[in-house]
Amino acid sequence: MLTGADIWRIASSLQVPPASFLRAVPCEDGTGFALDTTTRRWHAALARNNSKERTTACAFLMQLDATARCGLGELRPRSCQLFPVTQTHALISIHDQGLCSCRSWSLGDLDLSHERLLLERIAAEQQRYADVIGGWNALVAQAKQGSQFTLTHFGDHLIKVYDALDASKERGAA
Amino acid sequence: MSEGCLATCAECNGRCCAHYLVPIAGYDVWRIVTGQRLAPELFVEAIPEDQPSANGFRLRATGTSYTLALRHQFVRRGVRPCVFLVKLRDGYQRCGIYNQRPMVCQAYPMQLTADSIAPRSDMLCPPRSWDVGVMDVARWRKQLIEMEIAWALYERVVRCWNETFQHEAAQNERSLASYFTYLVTVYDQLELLRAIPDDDLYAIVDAWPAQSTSTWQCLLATIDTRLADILNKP
Repeated sequence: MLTGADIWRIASSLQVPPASFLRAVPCEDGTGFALDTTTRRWHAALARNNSKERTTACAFLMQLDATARCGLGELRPRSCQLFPVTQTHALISIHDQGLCSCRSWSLGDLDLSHERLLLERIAAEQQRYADVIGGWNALVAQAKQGSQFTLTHFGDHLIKVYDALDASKERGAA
Repeated sequence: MSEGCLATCAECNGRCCAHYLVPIAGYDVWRIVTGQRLAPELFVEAIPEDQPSANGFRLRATGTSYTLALRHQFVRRGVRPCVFLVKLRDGYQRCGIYNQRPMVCQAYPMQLTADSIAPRSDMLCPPRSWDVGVMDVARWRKQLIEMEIAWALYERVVRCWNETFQHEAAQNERSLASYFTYLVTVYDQLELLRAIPDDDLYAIVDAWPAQSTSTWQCLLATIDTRLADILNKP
């Protein structure tokens, strides 16, 4: 699951618009962003490469023969940085082992203090993202009935808000 | 393409990443291998040379020499993009190893002139993409000279490799994999590129293109000594 901080970090570092690497995934729990004045909600996920050679692989995956690497490196989303760790009911656990084809994981493989810090950061970024989505959804709700918005509109709004947040953080630091 | 220039390149469709055969030195191979944990065979192509050059390595005592270049993806619509080029939506493309991209990519499209820098004559960037008048020329110049130093170092690494088996029978052939192992082993131990004192580097930059300065000669001598130490280790 991406947060606005992930999207902003990738878009501003690579100098690409969010819509160039995102797709909208239907969200069932009502926490996502709106693209129209109905109650339908969406989550943002990394786009998938639908070419014949790389079916449904992440758009940033570089395929090198039988090996592949993430083209985002340090910019990759927090949830990718966290892998294979996951959190259930405030407890650290490890993803379904079936996801890794070349190895298995145990708690002994993890730097738990690092993982906890990362989880705290993710929680803070998710909270901020929820606030930003709330602001966006309020704007959409004020639009004329039947108005349609795209991922490009949402992405541009996100960049504007996170740019402003970043600028105020820098001013605070100064 | 140097720090701060992504904005200049942001609207480009990555022509340079599809058009050129990107020459890489041993240091580039080592940085990508260690940074991405990739086997060189996955991203390096050995290009046979018509005429042996100073950085042409051999796999047998006589015969063809080769240089190294980044591999390309397979041909698609007449284009062969670099193996590391990531294609996004709406025509956007980005380098997937930006922080470890080869030195020649970092320096593109600039080249050294006697006292400054200038865009290469075969530059593929749209007209007026680069204005030397507003660029940080000193920083670019330093980076370009660091690249020259890395290539000078690589020439020596290649020469040592070629010398190790020049007296062997002509039919004895070494594998490309053994050359890659040699490169990674040598660069693992060569701290020179990361440890050239700033004062030395600036002395070389200030004197460039005069390469007869004592600092430059001293650096080359240090490289030779360090390489000899590495290769003579049991």
